[in-house]
Amino acid sequence: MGVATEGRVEALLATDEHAEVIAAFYRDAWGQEATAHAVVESRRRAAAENVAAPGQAPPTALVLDAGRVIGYCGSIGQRLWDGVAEHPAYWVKGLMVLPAYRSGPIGFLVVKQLAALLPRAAALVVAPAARRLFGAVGFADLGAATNWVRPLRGGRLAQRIDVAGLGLGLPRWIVAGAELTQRSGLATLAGAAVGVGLGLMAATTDRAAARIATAQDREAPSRAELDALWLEARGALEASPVRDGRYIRGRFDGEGDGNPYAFVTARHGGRLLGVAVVRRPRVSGDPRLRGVRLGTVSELVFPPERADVGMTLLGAAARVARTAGADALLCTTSHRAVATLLRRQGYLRVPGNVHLLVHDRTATAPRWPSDVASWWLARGDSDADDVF
Amino acid sequence: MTDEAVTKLQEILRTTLDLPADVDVTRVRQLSLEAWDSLAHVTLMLALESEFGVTIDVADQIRLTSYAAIQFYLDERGAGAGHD
Repeated sequence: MGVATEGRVEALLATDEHAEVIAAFYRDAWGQEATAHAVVESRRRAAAENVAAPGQAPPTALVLDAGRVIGYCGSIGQRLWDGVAEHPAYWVKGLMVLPAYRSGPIGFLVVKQLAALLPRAAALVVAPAARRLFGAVGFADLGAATNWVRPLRGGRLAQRIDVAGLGLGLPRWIVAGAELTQRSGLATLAGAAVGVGLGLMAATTDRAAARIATAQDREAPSRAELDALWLEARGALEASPVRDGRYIRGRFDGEGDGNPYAFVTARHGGRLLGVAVVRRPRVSGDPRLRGVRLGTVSELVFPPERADVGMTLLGAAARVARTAGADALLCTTSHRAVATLLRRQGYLRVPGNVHLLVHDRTATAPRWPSDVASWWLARGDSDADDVF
Repeated sequence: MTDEAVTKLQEILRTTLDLPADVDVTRVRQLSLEAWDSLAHVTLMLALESEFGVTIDVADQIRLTSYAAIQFYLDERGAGAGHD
């Protein structure tokens, strides 16, 4: 499977035999306390959870230099809905090249090696250089999903956040204005006023859906309920990662008390109408956040035509995040129906920086929509909610 | 290298790295040039292989990170030396 080169550098597909060198790479690249045993265990778990090819570890490409991993690109099994059927696919995840080898051929080699193994794949990518690499091996860039932020404790948020450093692509005048306000000490007051205003706006819209019951739970709804919900929701979607019971329970449930996710359900007469998954805030090591506690709407499933359900879920998600101590709530979406609701819920739109890239070279490749607004994406896709 | 080969090498770098006309191509280094990213590097290597009739293995590609290094590499292999 590998592409051996004349020198000591080679690109190949990872197997359990590479566990030791992969663990060494994790330690070098990400500072993780990885061991060969942990790598093998992780591959076994990933194989068991692989919905694209059950039982097989999702492909990981490596570039080795004299036996040492210098480039790495992994994948996560998923299925994609094209408006008609569900298809096995992969998220490409974790492209990393050791600093000493960046800007050389290694990034291209490892992406090319992995892409060759994945007939249908998608990736959520921020860095322009990485997007160019994916483009060079056949991925189409469909555009950026939009980030939306709802301040929950506006004063604290305005005082602490490093607006310029967040990398959200805010206009210069907003960055300059926020920094000036922070320096002048008005940030707390201004932020609190903004928070109150947006809170009132959201409360007004929450009342529209008062007849729908919401609940928060540490455990996901049953697989059968989630399957039924997905079947109902997907009919109105042109394209989306599959969000059925197997996916949602496998991705977000478990880990006991350590599970960072809370499940928010919307029901009418006991029937599940929608579900949101909120990632509770943590005190991030990200210096740009300066201690700001950011919650995340990692997952959102409801029939797009049921705006009342969507509004109810988003309102309940904000309450859950606030109760969990969040200063703000982040929701990343590409779909126009969700964007409309977020605006009505008092979320502030910030330009998107996470691009969706797709390639499909299967014999029966569906006609995937080329505009990102037709895709139902969520922040939890491809584990992108790990960032904050 | 012949003068013709040197000119060709400089043109390849200017084109693949999108260098402005006033940049001294002989002083170009990957570390100081943002446009010289991974994809640009691969494009450059492919262009060198095609234009100079050489095969550059990946281990060597990693080291070819400046004009000077590339010219030295091609000189060592007699690429662009002309015909007797």
